[in-house]
Amino acid sequence: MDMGHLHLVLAYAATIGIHLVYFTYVAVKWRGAKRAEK
Amino acid sequence: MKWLRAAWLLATLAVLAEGFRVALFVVPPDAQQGDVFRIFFYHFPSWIGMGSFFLINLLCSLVYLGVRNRNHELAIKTDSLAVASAEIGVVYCLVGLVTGSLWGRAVWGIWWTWDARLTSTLVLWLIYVAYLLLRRFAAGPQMRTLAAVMAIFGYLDVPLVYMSTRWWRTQHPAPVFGGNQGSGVAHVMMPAVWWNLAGWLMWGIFVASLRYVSEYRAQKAEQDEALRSLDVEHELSGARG
Repeated sequence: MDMGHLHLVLAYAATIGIHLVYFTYVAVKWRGAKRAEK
Repeated sequence: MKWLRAAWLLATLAVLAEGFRVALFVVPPDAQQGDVFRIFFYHFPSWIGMGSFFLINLLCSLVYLGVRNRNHELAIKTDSLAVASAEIGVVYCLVGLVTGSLWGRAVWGIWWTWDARLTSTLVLWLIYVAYLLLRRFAAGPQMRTLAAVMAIFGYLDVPLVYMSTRWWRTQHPAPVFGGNQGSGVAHVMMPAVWWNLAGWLMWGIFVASLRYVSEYRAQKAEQDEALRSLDVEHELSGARG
């Protein structure tokens, strides 16, 4: 894999990874708020 | 609401999958940059997402400042939406900075340069991180007012970021859309732009809506708790009197 392709893969992986990390945080908050409501 | 959310998520994932397929396997490589140009299809939606959600944050902050002493319900709603939109805006901004850095290393040979576009974007990210830290480590209505004022000043950096490539000489090229004559993306690339723009914006709306609901519930519970404490205090003072 040359430099350009490696950076392309890293950029796509970073985008998806960052969004998934934030989504996990939001999901934990969501579950916490739901549990507190009960 | 549950069904609507599930349907929205399914549609979002389908659009993102199609965007991924079109960006990597359908549109041709760029004539000058080759395959590395495909980073643009994830880089560009991040900036549109960032600008859109920071704009929502600005509007909510303005409404919050206007109604905070008159309409508590609307104040809680706008403040919760302000938090949700600031968070997802920070996420988009981070994605834009990271993908931009990876692209820059491949095309310019450098990870980072302190030109006006990159520096003003980093400052913007730091401003909104500071906004979120303020909200995290302080409490009460004064904090919300202060955060709303901070959001208004913070947004001033958004047009500065956009115009920076026109006002100063920068390593970063002129805007692809709405830039100078000759700017823009080849017609054949546009499907990848539209699918990914739609997909990532739909994803942002989905995540921000979840975050809004949990923030609204938390603020509502906080308000109910404060009102209950006031009631107990009134009862105690009545019993004493």
